[in-house]
Amino acid sequence: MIGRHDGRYVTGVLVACAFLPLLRPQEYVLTFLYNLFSYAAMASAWNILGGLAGYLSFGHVAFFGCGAYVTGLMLVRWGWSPLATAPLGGLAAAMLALVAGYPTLRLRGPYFTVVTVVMVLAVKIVVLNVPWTGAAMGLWMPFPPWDPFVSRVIFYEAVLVILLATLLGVRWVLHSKFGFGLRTIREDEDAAAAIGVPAFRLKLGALLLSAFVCGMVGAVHGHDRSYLHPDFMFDLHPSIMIVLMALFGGRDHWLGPLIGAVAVMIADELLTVYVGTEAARMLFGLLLIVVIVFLPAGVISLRVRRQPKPVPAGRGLMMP
Amino acid sequence: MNRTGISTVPVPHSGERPSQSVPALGATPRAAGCATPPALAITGVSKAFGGLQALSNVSFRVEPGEIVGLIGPNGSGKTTLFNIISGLLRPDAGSVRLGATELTRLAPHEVARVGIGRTFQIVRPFQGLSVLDNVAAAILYGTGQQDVRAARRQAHEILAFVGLAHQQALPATQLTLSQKKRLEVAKALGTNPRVLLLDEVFAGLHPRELDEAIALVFRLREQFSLSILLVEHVMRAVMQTCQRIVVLSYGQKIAEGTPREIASHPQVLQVYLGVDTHAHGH
Repeated sequence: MIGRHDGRYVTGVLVACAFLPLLRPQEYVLTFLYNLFSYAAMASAWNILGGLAGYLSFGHVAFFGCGAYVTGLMLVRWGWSPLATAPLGGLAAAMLALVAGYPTLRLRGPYFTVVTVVMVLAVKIVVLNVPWTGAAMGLWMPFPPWDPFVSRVIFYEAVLVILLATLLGVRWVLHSKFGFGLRTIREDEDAAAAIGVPAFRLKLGALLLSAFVCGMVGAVHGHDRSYLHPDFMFDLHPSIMIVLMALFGGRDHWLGPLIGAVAVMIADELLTVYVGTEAARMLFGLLLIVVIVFLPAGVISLRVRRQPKPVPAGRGLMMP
Repeated sequence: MNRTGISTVPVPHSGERPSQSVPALGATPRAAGCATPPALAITGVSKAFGGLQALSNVSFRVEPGEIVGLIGPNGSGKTTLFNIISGLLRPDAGSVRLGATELTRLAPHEVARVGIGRTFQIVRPFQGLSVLDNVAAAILYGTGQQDVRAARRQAHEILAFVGLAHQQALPATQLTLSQKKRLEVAKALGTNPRVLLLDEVFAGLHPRELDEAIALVFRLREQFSLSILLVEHVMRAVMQTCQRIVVLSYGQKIAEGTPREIASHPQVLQVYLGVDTHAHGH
């Protein structure tokens, strides 16, 4: 599957998924895929900063929540549909990323990671204490105006579109000058500066892009839930899931986070049913450690490495 | 400064480096041929770390096309000076000029773009990237190059020049130490520098590798019309490559001259060998 034509296959499968609702599948199937696509889109977006630039953020749920709240408030105040304002939700998330990232992206490694966690808590406290967000009562939104199955299909299609756009965007980034710069930052930031890489600007760009996608996904999810509460929208668990998916799948391939999302979502579903939620979370923590220690380039590296390496002159070969 | 002069080695895509001739952001036109302005002028540079005076009032120049050696015992301030030139450290006083450009106010990546290429004493390849992509990244960000494919073609030429063409597809981690040092040089060359700072590129090489490395330094200067400032402990390499040597001790410049002058300079001998020259009635 991971080869020259991977782009066509995966795009084909995802486009086929767009027609799945015509078969009238069980709502459970659509809901599962809806969550899978949402996570895959956020993990792929996270990968731009976390995977390529090596700046581990556990704060991406803040961007998700920010997109949900901003578009939710626009629905409550002005009656604008979050499906239409999702890009504004993304922009709001990117604004938050700018405010949070401008001072913190000067920090390196673990310091940055710690600050991203603090950012989630800080945003949560702000939302809890500002009355016009609904504060601790939560934000009640008008229900989507469609019958339940149609709603399910609409939200499903919406995140599918976001996922496809994100995947193609990340693939472009990987092969672009931008992607090169981000990878040199991950490998050695001082050495990157010595060859002229404007590290701070690139990191900020990566953060804004990934925040934008998470804000869009958040907008769709907020509309779907119709009730937002800081405890759910700024819960760290989804952040950890995103990181796990991206790292498990593989950071240097645009399909890595998608593969990671599929694997983790299936495992999560099975573990929750057969073992229980708490045990599932413990196992995920363990898995995260194992992956980071033994498989830093993700499961996709097992497959990619085995490919024959042609050596035509003047071609880059390590990166897909 | 036509870089297609690399054609002494087999070059598959010569003539593919037009962007290399575009001066980078803020760069001044090269002083081609006119010998008056120095390529690099270090004037009165001082730097203290807490109570330790790492550099005090160090001044010297590197003329266009010149190879200058910077030597001194461990802790004499050589690497500190390199870090100041390349923008990683800010001096407490003094100035560093590349042509007409003041470097001490620039960030490290800006210094790289105006024409300072550097290698690191401890080799620092981008481990997760192929050898080719290490150099391609330098070309993309050190010059105005936007196109990844073109950058890879140019990177191939540079790798052929430093003798790493056959290793270009390998991950940078798989190179030997000698090859990693060549890769460091190739990365620095990729940024299209006017002045190249080499930090102990000769250390740890066996005699034949050392000869090759010395030859490479000369070829570098010819092909890329570079000025080179090198920090070095391997005396044979310094004596063979440098036209002029600057000696630092405890952050102060104690001598400057030709290799022959330095080899018999009393203060240098004292610092290096502990010879008490005064006892011999000097």
